[in-house]
Amino acid sequence: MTPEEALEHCLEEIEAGQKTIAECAAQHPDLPELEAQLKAAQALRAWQALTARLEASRRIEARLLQQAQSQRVAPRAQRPVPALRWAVALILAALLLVSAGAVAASANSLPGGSLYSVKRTTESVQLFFTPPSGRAAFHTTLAQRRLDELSALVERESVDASVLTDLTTALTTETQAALAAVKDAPPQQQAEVLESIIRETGKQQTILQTVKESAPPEAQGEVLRALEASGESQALAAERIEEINSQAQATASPTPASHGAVNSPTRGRHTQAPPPPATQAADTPTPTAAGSTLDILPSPTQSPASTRTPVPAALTDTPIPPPASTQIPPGQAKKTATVTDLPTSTQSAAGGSSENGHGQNGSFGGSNCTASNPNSPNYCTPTAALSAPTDAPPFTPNAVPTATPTPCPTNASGKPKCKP
Amino acid sequence: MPANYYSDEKTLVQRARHGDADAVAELYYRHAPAIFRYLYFRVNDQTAAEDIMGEVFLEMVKAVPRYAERGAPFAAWLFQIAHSRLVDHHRYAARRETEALSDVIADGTLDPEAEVVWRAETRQLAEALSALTDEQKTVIQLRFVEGYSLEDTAQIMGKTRGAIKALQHRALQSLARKLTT
Repeated sequence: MTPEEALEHCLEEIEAGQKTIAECAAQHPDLPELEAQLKAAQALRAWQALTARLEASRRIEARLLQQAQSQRVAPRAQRPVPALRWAVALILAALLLVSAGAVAASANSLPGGSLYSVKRTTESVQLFFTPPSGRAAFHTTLAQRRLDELSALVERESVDASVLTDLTTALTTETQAALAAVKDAPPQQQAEVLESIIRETGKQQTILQTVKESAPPEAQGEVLRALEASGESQALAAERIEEINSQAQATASPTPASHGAVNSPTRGRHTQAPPPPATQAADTPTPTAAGSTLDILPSPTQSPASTRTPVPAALTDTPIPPPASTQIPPGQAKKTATVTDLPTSTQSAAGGSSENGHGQNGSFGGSNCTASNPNSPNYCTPTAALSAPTDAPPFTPNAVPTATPTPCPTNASGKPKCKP
Repeated sequence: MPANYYSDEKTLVQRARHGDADAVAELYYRHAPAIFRYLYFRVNDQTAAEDIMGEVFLEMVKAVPRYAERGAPFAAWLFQIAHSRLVDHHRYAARRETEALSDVIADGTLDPEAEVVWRAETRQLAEALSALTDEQKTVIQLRFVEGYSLEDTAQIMGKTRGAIKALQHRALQSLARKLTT
């Protein structure tokens, strides 16, 4: 045991009353100074009597209590907001207002404009904060904006090739991103988003065709690629809808009860119905699953070939697919097989869309009249049958469309002018 | 120290942070004697020790809202304040002539005869203490005057148990030699 440890041990024993100083010192004859150390430690306890004077203590106490009270009463009054803080707050508010104004002002800006970069940056930020379930719709919106910008630019006399290239690339990117993000959308909204993509790609092809005609030579290639990509996206969207329909068919029961459900106000668009007789399928335009998308397209009625907008010259080498349920854009022959193999039993689906203007009597005509794009080979002009009266006979399985395809002029928005 | 001394003290400190006058008064009466002795051992002046003690506790009231408990006893923080005020005192105030220890008023509990003995002993002790280093003085005071344990003393002084043992051994050895000569 070291001298330090022996001292501490003895101090503890004496403190506890277990030993006296003499007893403890006797245990450590090898430490001659231990007893004197212990006595010194004991003598120091006398100093505990040393204290401040009473009046001094009371004076100090009164001062402390006064200070404590003052700190308790006015904690905020002692912390005035410095002028600098106000200045910083005003500057931040001003910056915020300016930023908000710039963002608002940039909404209608076009490429080349001073605020266009603000617009695109704002979109990127919005996209970042958009949840995955809403990104397909947001990408579709962004594609619409690029198309609007493209449309506005082509009205000008001269458009810079790099601007055109940038816009068409962005248009393609946003459309493809929308298509890729559909899987993250809520299942009940996926068909709606896909229909929106089909509709938008139809518009894209119309406008891109116009752009292509007026674009500088160096931008022609990019516009053409955008045109092809738009067609591909449209076909893919249609294919995805068919898959959704197929899944719906797998779960739906082909009983009369289910057909009744088709005509109910809450019926699904994609309810499967029994296929028509094979003999009819050969010579009768047969709606297919993709026909379910027709209720959002302008005219599903088969129209004379002469009413179709000519296929862009650059794409005429691609075989135009045979009548199919889904609009296959130029250059998309590889998708045709898939589409034409689809079940031909979606009359109920189309009939179910009568609330959108399509009669239940199958008057939507040929299955190739699915395009919303007037330039598409699958585009058909609306007919009077589209405005079938709401008291149309109830849906009958295997019903054969009987309406006669009659060309009908459309107004500017693509709606038929014809009345029932 | 009682088992609940420190938990009780935490509550007091918490109340004092919110300006509770009773908590401030309680903290003052708990720690004033030790702080006074700490100061008196170093200035050897009753009035100066009282004045500095007043400044120490006023600083406590002002700074306690910012006090952050880091595991050490609250007294450690007070001794730090006392040390700072002592440095200021030595730096700026003219050193007063050392007041005779016999003038220091004890707590008044001693009878006149015992007080004579006490004064004689304390005078001798005061002389012996003056030869100690500041750290040795602090260890001696905390361990044998204030009654802090080895652990508490180590925490207050920011040292290890072994270091405190060694310090107190050397301090008592020095005192013993002075007192026996």
